Amino acid sequence: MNTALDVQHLTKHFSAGGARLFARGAKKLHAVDDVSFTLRPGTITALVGESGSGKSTVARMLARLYDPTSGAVLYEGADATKATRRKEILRYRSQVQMIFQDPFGSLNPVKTIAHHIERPLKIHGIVPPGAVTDRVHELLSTVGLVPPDKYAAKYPHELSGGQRQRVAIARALAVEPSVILADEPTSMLDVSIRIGILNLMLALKEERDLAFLYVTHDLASARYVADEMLVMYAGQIVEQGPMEQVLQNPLHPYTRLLLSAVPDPRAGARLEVAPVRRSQYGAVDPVAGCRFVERCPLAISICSERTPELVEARRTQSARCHVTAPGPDV
Amino acid sequence: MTVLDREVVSVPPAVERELLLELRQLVVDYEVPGKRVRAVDHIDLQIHAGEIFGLAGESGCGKSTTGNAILQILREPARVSSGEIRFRGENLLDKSREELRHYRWRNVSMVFQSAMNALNPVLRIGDQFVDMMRAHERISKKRSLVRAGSLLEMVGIDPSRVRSYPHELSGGMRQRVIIAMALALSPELVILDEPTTALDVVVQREILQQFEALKRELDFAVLFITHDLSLLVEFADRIGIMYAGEIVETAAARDLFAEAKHPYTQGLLSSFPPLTGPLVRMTGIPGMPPDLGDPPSGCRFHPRCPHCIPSGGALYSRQLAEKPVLKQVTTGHFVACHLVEPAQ
Amino acid sequence: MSNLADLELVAPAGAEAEVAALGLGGPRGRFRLPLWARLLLGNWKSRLGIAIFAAIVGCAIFAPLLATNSPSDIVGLPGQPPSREFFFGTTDQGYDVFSQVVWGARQSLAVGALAAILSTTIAVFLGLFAAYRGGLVDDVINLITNIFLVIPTLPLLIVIASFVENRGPVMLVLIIGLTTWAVEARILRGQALSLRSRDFVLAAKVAGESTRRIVFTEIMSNMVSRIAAAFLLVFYISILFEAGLEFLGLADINKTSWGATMYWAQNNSAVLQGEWWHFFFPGAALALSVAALVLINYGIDELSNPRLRRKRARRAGVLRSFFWGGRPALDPPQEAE
Repeated sequence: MNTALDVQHLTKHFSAGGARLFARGAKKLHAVDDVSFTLRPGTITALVGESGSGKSTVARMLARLYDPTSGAVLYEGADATKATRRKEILRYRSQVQMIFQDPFGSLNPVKTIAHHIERPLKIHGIVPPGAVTDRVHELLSTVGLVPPDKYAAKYPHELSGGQRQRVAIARALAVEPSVILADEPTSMLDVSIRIGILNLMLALKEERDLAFLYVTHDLASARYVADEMLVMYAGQIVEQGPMEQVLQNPLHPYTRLLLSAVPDPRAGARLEVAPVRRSQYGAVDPVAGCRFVERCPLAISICSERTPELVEARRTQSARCHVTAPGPDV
Repeated sequence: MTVLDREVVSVPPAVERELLLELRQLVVDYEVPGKRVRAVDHIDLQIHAGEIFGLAGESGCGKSTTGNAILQILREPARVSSGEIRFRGENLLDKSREELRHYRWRNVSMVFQSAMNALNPVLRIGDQFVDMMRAHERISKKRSLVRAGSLLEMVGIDPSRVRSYPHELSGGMRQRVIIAMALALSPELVILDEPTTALDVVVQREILQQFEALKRELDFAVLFITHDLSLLVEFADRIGIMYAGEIVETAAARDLFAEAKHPYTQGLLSSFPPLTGPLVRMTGIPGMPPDLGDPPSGCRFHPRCPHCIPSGGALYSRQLAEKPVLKQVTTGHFVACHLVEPAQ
Repeated sequence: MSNLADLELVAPAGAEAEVAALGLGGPRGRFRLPLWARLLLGNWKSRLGIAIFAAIVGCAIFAPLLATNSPSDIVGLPGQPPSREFFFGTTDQGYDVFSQVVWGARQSLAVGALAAILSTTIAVFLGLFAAYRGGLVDDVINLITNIFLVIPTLPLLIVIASFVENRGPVMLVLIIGLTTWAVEARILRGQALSLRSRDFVLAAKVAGESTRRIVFTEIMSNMVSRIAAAFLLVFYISILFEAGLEFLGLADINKTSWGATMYWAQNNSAVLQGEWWHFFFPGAALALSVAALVLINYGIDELSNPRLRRKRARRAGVLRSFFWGGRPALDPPQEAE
């Protein structure tokens, strides 16, 4: 099976709070800890978690917007995070693109739509200068904005949220990437519009054999588009596996909690969700032990002592839990 | 336990109590030079004591404007052009500023979408409660702080947090703080305007469950404004669907979910991909919401309605020319649609 | 489709998306001035400011037509009060005060403008660079900015001017331009910082855009109104500092300017002699110029911060995000396509 992007042991620590120069023993926020997964062509992988889980940070590291504290992102065998020469970086950027959450914020308010799509074309020399306008129109048509010449001349504030996201997708497609990182692309859109964007993603995946990373907190939309599921909690991957398998038989207690919390009109009685007084920072200077222990209905003594490893408890499905996916030596 | 283990449990409808809030043909306009935009167009609404009424619709439908109108906090250039807002029979539009000040927060209060819009970032939580309470009653600072502490406890926050600043609390906790503030003077009606949209799904559930418990204990009515219809089907007793400034369907929550009659409602319901059951391609609703400065003629939904086709003959002409009126189709279920015949 | 920037005209946060959907837009006439011009003229403060300033600039440009006497010729009896022949009277030497004020406008305004251009350019470069690079570069630039902020500008100018040998207008432009940039550098850095983390800047980076283009195309294009306001501020400050230096005799007082006229007035004890016209008119010209620029700046403030507009909004029409750059944090779920 070929691989588009191979993420290995990606870690990101931020110094939490304050003093740059004189910090000694400054607190470290473990935004992302030891995350590994693979993105494959023609596959949509959902990265699911609540805010603060680190999922957006992972996407941004893949987009080279943050430098990882450790770990590697392998593209065509080379670690993209270590690239220093402009040529290498530009090559990576022509293959890995990103769509952002806020449809209004991701477009420059004082520039036309054409500008946004022309720039990547010109930077990477995708087409000769004379062909730029035609390619812009082609891309706008691909994402459903027709007639393209009308849209190309508009400014972002003249478009609706859904239309702006389509422009963002067209911009990402301009460089003909093999990987698209979609960071909550529909969470700020109206409900009836989300489906349109999700369908567009599915179509692009099919037609162009793209690899997508779909970051979201909405499990239902993750199920709709994605083939693989990665669940993150407090900076770690706590469960991963094929979508339907994980949804039918979730291993990790957090996954089960998520599933029970999604509004489902067909449901009757529910698990009582016990409120927990959590501090707002995720894992600041975490100690050994499972990070979910305070909220876990299945916690046993070892859960507070030893951090569980990601263990393949069923075929292709792994979880990080001493109880449901115990390691060999437990 | 898996997702598929759940069964559908039917809930008996709430006993209808006295009428608390009534909107009669309410019209709210935004006046800008050269244009008048009608954000709320002749809507009727009724909320009874102890009832949870959900108002659903997408952005631009007028639901937030309605909520602001009820609390009488509309700001220029928005104004109520006609209609009545009756709270316990009295028309709010006839009230003086002083009477409205008394009404706000005591009779009706509001929980806003973003706590950071409602909380002052440079004041401690406790001080904000004090400000609010002392604006409405004669109470000493010390006593208000004590009350603030017990209100925080009521929403599940450690009372010592009265000394915290808003940024020191998590998003979920902040939202709980403004819920506590909204309940501080024991109002009879609480308006929730997208209270959990900015929160993730687990926190959302925690907060709403807690809110439900509080409602049972303190016995107030709720107007729950949101775009998330699936949430309303779970939590609301009755639901009203707004589109382009009008209410197009009203029904008990279960009835709406089981038998939505208006094509827009049907479209909305089919915009939520299922978490369980077979996975099918969904279509959402094509097109976009209308420009309220120049809305479509006749039925405002007709440009996007799958049942509006040029070959429809007389029906098609009606859809383009005549605005449908809310009619009762079954007990408690009202629809404004030319396709639907009213119950005889 | 609708204009999200219009949100600022109305309503608490929850209703903002609804207002966006309302498609508010200005009236479409046959001849449309560019948006910024329409908005500036729509505001009474900036209208007044523009009118006054245009009049003053007009005087400067058309000086030969307005003031037929040369400002440096003795044309009348010394010490005459304003009369029909000499509108602003004459000095103790017999120079025409009116001519001096009208011709003096040229130097006063030109030096002010050029110093402001220099100062604003430095502020823009340093501010934006510090904001985008962050880290050590930011710390160093901040340090330098702080030093300049702490040292009082006028005394610094006086000290520099005293030491410098060449005191012509070019020197004035240089020394004023090089000492007044700090305030605006700080402010522009602040705005650039807030723009830097906006998604469209990140998107440009992901697209492969070079740092230079990101700073000067993506970020700066969203700061135009703030830079314009910065320029106007430094403009009137420069006019005042320039006049101050001239008044103290630290500039070339043989060149005609408002400050120089006032220097001579002081030198000739005009106050003691009751010759009020000698200093009043150049002083009034100064005051009017500064007031005009301040008024225009109020207008720009209201443009870039829509919350200040309130009722004026009705007359000013509608603001596009050109001057304001959008407010992502306020947008609830968006409308359909």
